[in-house]
Amino acid sequence: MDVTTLKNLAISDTGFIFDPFSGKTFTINEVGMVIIQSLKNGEDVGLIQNKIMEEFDTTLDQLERDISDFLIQLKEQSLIQ
Amino acid sequence: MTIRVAVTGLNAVDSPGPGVPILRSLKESPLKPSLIGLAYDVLEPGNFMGDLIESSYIIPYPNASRDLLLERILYIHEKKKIDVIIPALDSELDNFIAISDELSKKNIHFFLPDKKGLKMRDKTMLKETLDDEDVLLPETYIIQDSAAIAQIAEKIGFPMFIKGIFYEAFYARTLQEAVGFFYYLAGKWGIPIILQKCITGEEINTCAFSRNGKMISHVVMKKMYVTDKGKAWAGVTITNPEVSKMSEKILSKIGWNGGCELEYITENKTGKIYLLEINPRFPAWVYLTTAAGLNLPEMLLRASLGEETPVNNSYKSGIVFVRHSWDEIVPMSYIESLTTKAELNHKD
Repeated sequence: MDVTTLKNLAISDTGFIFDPFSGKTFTINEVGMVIIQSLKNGEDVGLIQNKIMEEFDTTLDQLERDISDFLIQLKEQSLIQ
Repeated sequence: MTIRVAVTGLNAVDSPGPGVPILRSLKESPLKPSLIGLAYDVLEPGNFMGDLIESSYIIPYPNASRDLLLERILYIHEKKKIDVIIPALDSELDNFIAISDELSKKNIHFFLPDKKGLKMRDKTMLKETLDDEDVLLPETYIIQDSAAIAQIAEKIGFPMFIKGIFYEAFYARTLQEAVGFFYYLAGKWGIPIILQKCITGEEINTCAFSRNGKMISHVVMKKMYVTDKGKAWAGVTITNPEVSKMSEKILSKIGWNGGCELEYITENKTGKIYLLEINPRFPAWVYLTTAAGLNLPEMLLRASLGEETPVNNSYKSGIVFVRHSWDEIVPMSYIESLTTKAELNHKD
């Protein structure tokens, strides 16, 4: 997974994101923040799942679906390749 | 000694001219110039911005003769000793280019494109100019007669853009609409009229200052909010190396001298970047360049005064502008002064 674009994003603590290349803005929730920061740090999906399971109240089944959906959205916005 | 700079394009209306943002940028320059407005109409809002200009003068419309303009500028010069004039509108450039040599002899300086450069970036010439360059242009046709619209619509379909030779563009969904816009634009700006294939996508513009074809400085902006006239009402500075490189190449090809705006669109379907047009002056959003760290009007002023202008393309991305309207309350004496004397001195 190429996360070069993610590394260039300006991300604020509130979950507001500005992409300086496309000019697009996004908002994400706390879980989205964890996923993006982890991807930026080069962590794989398995590690990200463990991290979120420790921090948030969710099931593995639900989490897998949510992460998969989120990654699709990131791809659609050309933020990952 | 204070530098005196006169700027045109004070029509800060719903489709605003660049004069006011140029003045605003110059006001923030360390050169601290004294600023004079040159307006075509009494009610151009810039006339009343006493915090920016010390005085304002009405000048003859671009369709009046160059001699009338020369006479008027010399009159203003006699009173104000102008050092530099920055013309800010497309339609007046020919006249200012024509009188610039005579005014140079009176120590009034300009930094203008030459007639060749002006012609090369003309909407009707762009395809020819950039034919051998790797620059995508939407399919474009130049017509003299409304009868040609139906024929061209068979090739590019509807919706299409109908553009005037100098200003204004309309989005036509049907043949009837297109014919209506043709006559409106022909009546207002003359012929030819430009028909352009509609590309759906995000609009990205470059504001640049170029010297003999060398891009000295530029800022790329993405439109965030567009008016019904297609004007950016909000925008954000972005970093787009592809657009920057393309702009540099185009300006070099046309040997551009002065300020300008290059308008692009990134097609949603393909992600390809198309050049829509090149405007031969700074855009109305030029103050955003100053806010992002590159005062392009100041660079143009320095170049007009014969100073070197080193290349500087380093600006902050993520700087946002949001335009707004403001109802200025104006003393009737200001209107009287501009109407009866064609001038207004804010210091009186």
